[in-house]
Amino acid sequence: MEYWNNGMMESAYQSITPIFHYFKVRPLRSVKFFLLLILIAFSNAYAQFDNYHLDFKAVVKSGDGVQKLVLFNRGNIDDVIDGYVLISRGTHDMEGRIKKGGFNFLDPKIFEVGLPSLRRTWVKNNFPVKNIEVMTNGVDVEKVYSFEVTPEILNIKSDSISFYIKGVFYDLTKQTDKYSEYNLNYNINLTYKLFTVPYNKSVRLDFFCEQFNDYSFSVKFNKIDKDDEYLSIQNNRPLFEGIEQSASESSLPPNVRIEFGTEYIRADVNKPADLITLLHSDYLLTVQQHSLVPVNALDDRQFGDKTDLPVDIYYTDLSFPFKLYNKEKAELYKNYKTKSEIFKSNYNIVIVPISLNADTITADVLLNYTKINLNDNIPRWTPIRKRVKLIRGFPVAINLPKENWSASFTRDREKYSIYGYSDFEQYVNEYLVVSFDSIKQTDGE
Amino acid sequence: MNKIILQNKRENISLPELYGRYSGDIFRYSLSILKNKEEAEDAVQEVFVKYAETESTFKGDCSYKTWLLVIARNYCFNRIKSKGHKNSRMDDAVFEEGVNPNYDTLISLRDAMLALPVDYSELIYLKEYEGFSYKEIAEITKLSPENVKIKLFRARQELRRILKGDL
Amino acid sequence: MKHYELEISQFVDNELPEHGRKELFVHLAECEECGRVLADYMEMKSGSRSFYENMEYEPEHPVNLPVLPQRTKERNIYQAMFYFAAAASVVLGLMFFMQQSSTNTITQKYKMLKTEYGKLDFNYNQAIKEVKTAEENYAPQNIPNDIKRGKEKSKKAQAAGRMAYKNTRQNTTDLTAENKDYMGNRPQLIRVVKVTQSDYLTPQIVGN
Repeated sequence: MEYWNNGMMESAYQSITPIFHYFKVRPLRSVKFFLLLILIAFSNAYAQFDNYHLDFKAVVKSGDGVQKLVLFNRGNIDDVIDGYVLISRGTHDMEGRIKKGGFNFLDPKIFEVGLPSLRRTWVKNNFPVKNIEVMTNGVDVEKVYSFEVTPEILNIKSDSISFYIKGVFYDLTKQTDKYSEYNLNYNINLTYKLFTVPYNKSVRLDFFCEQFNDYSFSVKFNKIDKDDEYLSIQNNRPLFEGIEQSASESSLPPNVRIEFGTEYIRADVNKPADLITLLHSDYLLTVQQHSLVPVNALDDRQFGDKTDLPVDIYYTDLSFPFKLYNKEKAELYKNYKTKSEIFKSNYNIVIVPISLNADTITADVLLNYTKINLNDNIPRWTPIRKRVKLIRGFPVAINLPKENWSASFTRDREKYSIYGYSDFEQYVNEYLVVSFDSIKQTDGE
Repeated sequence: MNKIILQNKRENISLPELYGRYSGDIFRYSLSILKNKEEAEDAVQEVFVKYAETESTFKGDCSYKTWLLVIARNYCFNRIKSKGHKNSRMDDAVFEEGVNPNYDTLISLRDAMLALPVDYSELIYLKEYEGFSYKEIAEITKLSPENVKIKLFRARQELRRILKGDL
Repeated sequence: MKHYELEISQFVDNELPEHGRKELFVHLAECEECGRVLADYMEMKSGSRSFYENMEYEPEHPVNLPVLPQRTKERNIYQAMFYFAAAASVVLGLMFFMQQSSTNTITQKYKMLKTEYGKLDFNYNQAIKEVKTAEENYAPQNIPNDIKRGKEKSKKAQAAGRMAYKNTRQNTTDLTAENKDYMGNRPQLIRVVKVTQSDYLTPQIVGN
């Protein structure tokens, strides 16, 4: 639900109202002084803001439960976050990115057509309307939502954050007779909204449903103390040491930031998984995230110290429902109440870039996962480290091994007996797809 | 529309001159995508209209021909989609519904070219007729050169398969 | 035996590097099948070339070349001036507003910005005027309760909207079959790699 809380922001503002009272008395003389005071106030505030990063996560899910898209951005407190999500025509494939300028019909990366001379940066959602469709292959797209999120934080210590979300919905499925035959026309809707939400809580924005039926759009903000930006790996020494080892082999130059993307795919073993075109909607389940979270330190509570890494690594947790594809077994547990809590998969993915060469990255992909959520400390799924060579535009799909695991347990008097291979593994092929969008040089922090 | 000749301020190539030089190539390229002569002729007209409308945005960072080819490409692909072409592969009577193709007779190259899927036939045109390099083809189609290489290979495989009557 | 079809394709395109060519020739000496492939590709090359060479562009109706439009520099200047004036008015308005109000909440700032935003985006309004709004035809079927709506449309209008929406959805579905044949313009070649014994971080957990 949308969350609106005026009170907190008002109290924050009231702490600086004495300044305004002063100006009520002398409205004309004091402009310069006023500006100076504002400067001082803000510089103090921003000094505090400097200690924090703002994590933004947008999650879009399709109504049929097959596709989930996670867009992630870690940036400064006052950064504006632009991005887009689109649904392709016909296949209803979902794609999205956090990208400066949001969605640009002329961007060749999106449509792979378009001349350099015709590219225009989409600044502040100032889009051209006529003739655009002939300059692109926009017909592949059914709907687009392009957004610009501007956080509004006055008091860094507050529990909640306000943000403006400006957005444009394009619906390309409508054609009108106003235009000549080859000019596709699209329904354009602008939205401009303000929300106040608590930190670290996923909040669904319902206005999205009005345009994108059957899809949900949620956002989550988190403020991260820069000192707390490390990856905590508990009770998994092999994974910890694996990451350390990979990081020590890295020859990446300093201050390089990579936009990695990852996707978990579960495909029906009987249907050929057409990874050539990577149509997400063809699969049983897909969960993709762009981009991953960068960190440069590890923490292993067991042994104490925080370990600084020589290179930035990137991680995420992909979580999604687990399902028994063995029909008899699924029928047995159909009405179990504890099922929703237990049938949750969690895939921890860490990417350590090893070397960099023009448009190619060699990276170690580390994967630690649990297919069901049991917390009984029994290892069932072997963690993996795989070295892959990534070329821009050529994702790599790691075909995950079918493991022979089992779990027999009782939870709240509901008895389970699951044989991983016969109840799940033999019905599916699982892939972890890894790709990257861009390599950037940062200014070093 | 009036027939008026205007000088192109950039590089002194007038519109009629551009038309004279490249209309044939635009026609053939459109044909490789649309697989229909009448539609390809329409495409040429529309491409030059589009060129005129957006001429001011051309910064000269690629050749005129490349630019015209990209306009043509976009127009043709839009046309395919918006007309909801039942089958973007074929145009002529070769594989019409209800007709059982005779698998024993060798299919002519012409028929095979028409039967090729659109994105293969455009690459065949750009490579075999225009003689562009992978890099130049990549600039027009906005695929990566590596992708162009692979796709051309697949195009040849497919063409060979059709020619051998192996459906 | 490895076949060199991809290399043959590159060779025929004159894009096979030197070392690749040597390897290919060595292979061709031993492999009849690849020899046939090469011969076929060369024949296809000349055949496709003549196919296009024989396509003459001879339009039946005379082609009317369009007029090149005048560059509208003045318009750009006016546009720039407008945006500058609008931006300046926003800044001045903000300063004036901050001086005046003693309880400057975010909501008030939002309202003011929204008004200014509305003034700046005259382009958008113009665009919307040119586009048929789909609201009557595109009403969603399941409307969540907590969305604040404007005036409630009559039941008849809602039903009509849903019908129209249903129809457009059907049209979209009809295209799906064709689109699946069409390869689309964003193909990505995915390389699939398998996990081997050496990729496990711990000894493989086998059965429980």
